Amino acid sequence: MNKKLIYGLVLLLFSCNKIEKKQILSTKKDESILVENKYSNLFRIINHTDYKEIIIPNPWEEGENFAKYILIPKGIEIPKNIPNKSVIIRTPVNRIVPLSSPSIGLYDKLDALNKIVGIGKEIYIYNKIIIEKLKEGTVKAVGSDRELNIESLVDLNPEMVTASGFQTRLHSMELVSQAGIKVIYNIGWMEKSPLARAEWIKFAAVFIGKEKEADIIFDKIVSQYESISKLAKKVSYKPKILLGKKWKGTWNTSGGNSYFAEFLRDAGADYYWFKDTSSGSLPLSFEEIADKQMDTDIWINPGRIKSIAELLAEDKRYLFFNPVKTKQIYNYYNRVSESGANAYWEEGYVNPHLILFDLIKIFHPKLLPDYELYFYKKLE
Amino acid sequence: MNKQTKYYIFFITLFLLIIALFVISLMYGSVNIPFKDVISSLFGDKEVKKSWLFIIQEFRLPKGITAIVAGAALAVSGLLMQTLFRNPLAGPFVLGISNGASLGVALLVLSGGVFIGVHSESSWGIVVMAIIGSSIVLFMVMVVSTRVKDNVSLLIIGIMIGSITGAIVSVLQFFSDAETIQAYLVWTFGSLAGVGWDQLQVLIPIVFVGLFLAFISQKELNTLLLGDNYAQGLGIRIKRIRTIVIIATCLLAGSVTAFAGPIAFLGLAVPHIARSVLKTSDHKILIPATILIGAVLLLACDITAQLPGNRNTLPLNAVTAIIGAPVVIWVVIKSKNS
Repeated sequence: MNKKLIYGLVLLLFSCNKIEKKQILSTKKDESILVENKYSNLFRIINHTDYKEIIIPNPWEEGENFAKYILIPKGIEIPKNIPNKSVIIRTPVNRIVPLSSPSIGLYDKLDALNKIVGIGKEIYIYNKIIIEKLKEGTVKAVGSDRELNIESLVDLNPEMVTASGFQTRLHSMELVSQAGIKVIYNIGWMEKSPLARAEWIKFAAVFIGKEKEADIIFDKIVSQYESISKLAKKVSYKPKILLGKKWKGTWNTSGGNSYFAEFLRDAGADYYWFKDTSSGSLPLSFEEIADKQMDTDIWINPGRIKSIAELLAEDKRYLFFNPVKTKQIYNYYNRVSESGANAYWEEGYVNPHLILFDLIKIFHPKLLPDYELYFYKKLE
Repeated sequence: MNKQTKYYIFFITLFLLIIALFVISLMYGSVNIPFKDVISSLFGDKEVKKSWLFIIQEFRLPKGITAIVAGAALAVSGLLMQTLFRNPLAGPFVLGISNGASLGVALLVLSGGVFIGVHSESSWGIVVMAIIGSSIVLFMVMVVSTRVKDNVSLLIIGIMIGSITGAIVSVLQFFSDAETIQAYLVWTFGSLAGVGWDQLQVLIPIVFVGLFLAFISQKELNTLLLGDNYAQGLGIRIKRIRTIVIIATCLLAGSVTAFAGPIAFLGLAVPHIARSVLKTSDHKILIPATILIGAVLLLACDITAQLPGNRNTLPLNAVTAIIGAPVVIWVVIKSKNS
């Protein structure tokens, strides 16, 4: 009898997951409500009577789940109907170790930096408050990827560690889980639109009980993003954009369906590869780019290049490209710390409107006369 | 038909093949350019589409020339090493030259330029670091070579030095982020696409010096094949010839590695093809033959790597092995059977 009830519940949960729209399900014991997302479909929050459930569908394998987290408020007994093998987190979480840069941006935006007790690698941190805390010793660096120091991490006694999901393949993250530390994967970087990425602020917020604040922040981001994008799309002149840079024979540019192509569309630009259907990066030969995009108007995101001199040191042949002649090259190196940490990677994720403002300022300066570039900088 | 005529026919055929492949490499790439536009681009006709003019003059032309120069250089350095060590498995990189170059490049690319204070992907930065790296290894090998008498010990020491530098590169990779490791790995795949006219102006003279050293050592190389004692008996100063051969190899393999990455296999394979086809071990014939075969093979590999009609290119190192290995197997089997 009991077994049947559990099976029934699991089935109901499953059918509920497949439906995007808000839906109320009720059984005798439990009530579950799916929180509706506006842009993201890579995470789902389901509010149950006694607990919350987060499901991350596997973007690499359709029909499978990448992860499932059960969030139970502290002080409440763990309900019996929780499926086995679920990662159980007691909320609100107070001791967090974010191993990836975007998570720091998320918790900063939620005004919850005080919950961070450790970080990955010090050289990747741009956030001034965290740097200060590292100096004071109230936040500790534990290393990341293969350099992760599991002993230091365990010593910090974190209630949860957030990772980007790249790390799943690494043995070290398994060891962390085995040590009893809850690992939460944030795979927002797999989203195909900037606003969907930013919506992961809601994901980060559930763990610390700041859902309402997250909703308000996200709605504000969306309205700022969409209002300026509307103006930019109306402008009839659309500058032609060159993206990325070559390394040896291959030029990596963004696919037509990628996250960055979405930014370009929203910023009122013309990009040769808009009609391409790939959603990741598009590796092309130098010839192909030269043939199609030599006479573009503006060049953005040329790899890790910080000056025109560096660009020409790599290959003098870039001189034949129009944006080099007209010096219209921009990269996101406006806010970089001495160690090389870049605000773009930390804050850009949860502030897509700022990236969009920058791009529009570059493409259509008249639309934002008083705005000053935030992440981007013109190369000299 | 006497041997001499056979060699002439062979050389002329290869020479024509190089010209044909060179023209093909100018004609085919990931962008389709009609033949007449290729020709008018070569002569700087202003009527041609600007981007085509760029692709032919600044990209395909230097790349084709690099393929010839690098192919010849690697093949001759492989021959020199096989003769010096009297070991058919030796190649241009047995002395750890490519490992030394790799270490230099790894120090620059993986440190993100912090270590040296140069932009980490600067093409000259990479060339200079590769040359410094391979020169240090060369220097170590030379010092050792004055102390050990036999070549087998030298070979083992070369391999050991290679292992050490390889291990240091691994440690550097361990502490690097995915993006810089990727940049470094792409360098190790080998590519001719990064070589422009500026770089060729340096590469060509170095390779010429290396080839010149090989040419003037023909006689000594032939006697080396008979064994060190025998060569000494014939009045050859082993140490001197050993030093010349090592310097020539380092100039040839080191410079190509610096500009185009460690292109494996070619140096090992070409001398075997030359010996099997021409059935001689006379360096007077083998040196020009390996130059020509090396150029032909690398041109062919580069054309294949371009995957005509495709928007992307294959890693050159994969292509040289995929094309080169079956050719060697076929040649070896055929020459053993006949």
